[in-house]
Amino acid sequence: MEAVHADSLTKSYGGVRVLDEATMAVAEGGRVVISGTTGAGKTTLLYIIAGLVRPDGGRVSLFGEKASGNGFFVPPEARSIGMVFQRAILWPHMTACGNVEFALQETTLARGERKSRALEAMALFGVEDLAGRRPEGLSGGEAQRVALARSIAARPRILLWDEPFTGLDEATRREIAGRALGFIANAKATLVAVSHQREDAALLGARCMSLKDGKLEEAR
Amino acid sequence: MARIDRRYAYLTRVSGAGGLRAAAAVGVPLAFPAAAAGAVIAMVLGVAELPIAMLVAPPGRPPISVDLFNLMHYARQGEAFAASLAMMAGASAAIFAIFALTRKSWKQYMPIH
Repeated sequence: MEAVHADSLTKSYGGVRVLDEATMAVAEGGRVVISGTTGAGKTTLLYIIAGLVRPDGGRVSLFGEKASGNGFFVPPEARSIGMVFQRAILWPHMTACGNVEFALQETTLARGERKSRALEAMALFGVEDLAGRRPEGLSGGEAQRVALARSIAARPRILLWDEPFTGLDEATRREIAGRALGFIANAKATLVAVSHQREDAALLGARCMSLKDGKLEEAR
Repeated sequence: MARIDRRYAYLTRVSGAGGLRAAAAVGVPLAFPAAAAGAVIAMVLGVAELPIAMLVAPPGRPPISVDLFNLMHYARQGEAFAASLAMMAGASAAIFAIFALTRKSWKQYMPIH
C-alpha cells in the first residue's frame, strides 16, 4: 500500500509557482529523500503532506485515505505525522524532555509512561542526559537531536524531516542516521525527508528524488 | 501573536494538538510575557492618569475614574464594585471588538492556507 501519494500538486506564492503538478508516491515503510535548490519548494511539499498548507491544486492521500484536495481536508493533528522542521525548533518554555513528551500528550499513556517513552526516544539520539535543559542551553546539534527524538516519540506512521541532520558534524551525522534508520526499519515507518545533501539519501538507505521547476523526478 | 514564529504553531499541530489545546499549551505561554508587560504598563499609566483627571475634571461631572476613587475613599464598596464591574465589562467588550477586527492577524498565527 502507498503510505504517501501526492498527485499533481500545485502551489503558488505571490504569483510564483513553486510546485507545478508535482507527483510522488512512497510505499508503506518506504524512504525517500528529496533534494533541490534553495526555494525549490521542498519545504512547501512537506507542509502540504503534513496538512500545514493547503495545495492550490492536486491531491494528497495517506495510506489510501484522501487527506487534501478537491475541498477535502484532514487537519495536521489527525494525520499521524512526526515532523522535524528546518533549523530545529523547540518550544522555549519547556525543557528538552517536556518538548518530547508533548508529542505524547494525545496518547492514552499514563504520565509516567509518557516520560519514560520520551526518555527512550531521547536515548536513541543520545540526548537523554539533556532532558532537564531548556532549549536556550542546547547547541544547534543537540536541539536538532531533541527535535528528531520528538518526531519519533509517538511512533507515527509517517515521518517528515526537513534537513534532519543540520548542525551535526560528519561523524555524528552518520551515527544519528544509523540510529534513525534502525528505528524507522523496526517501526515500519515511512520517511519523506528533504535535504540539500544528496548523500543523506545513502545514509538513510532511501530513494532520492529531486524537485526542479516545481516538478518531482527520480534522481540519478 | 503575529510576532511569534509561526512554526511553533505548526509544530504544535503536527504533535497532535487541536486548535484550543495548541493555544493553551503553546500560544498563551509564548504570548504571556508580552501580555503581562502590556498589562503592567497599562496599569501604571492608568494610575498616573488619576491625579490629572482629579485636577482637570469640571465640578459636578467627575469622570468615572475619579468617581471610583471617591467611592472607595468613602467606603461605598457596593457601588465601587458595581462601577468596577461595569468598567471591566466595557473593557472586555472593547477587547473582544479589537480581537474580532484583527482576527486576520491571529489567523496568520495558525494558518492552514
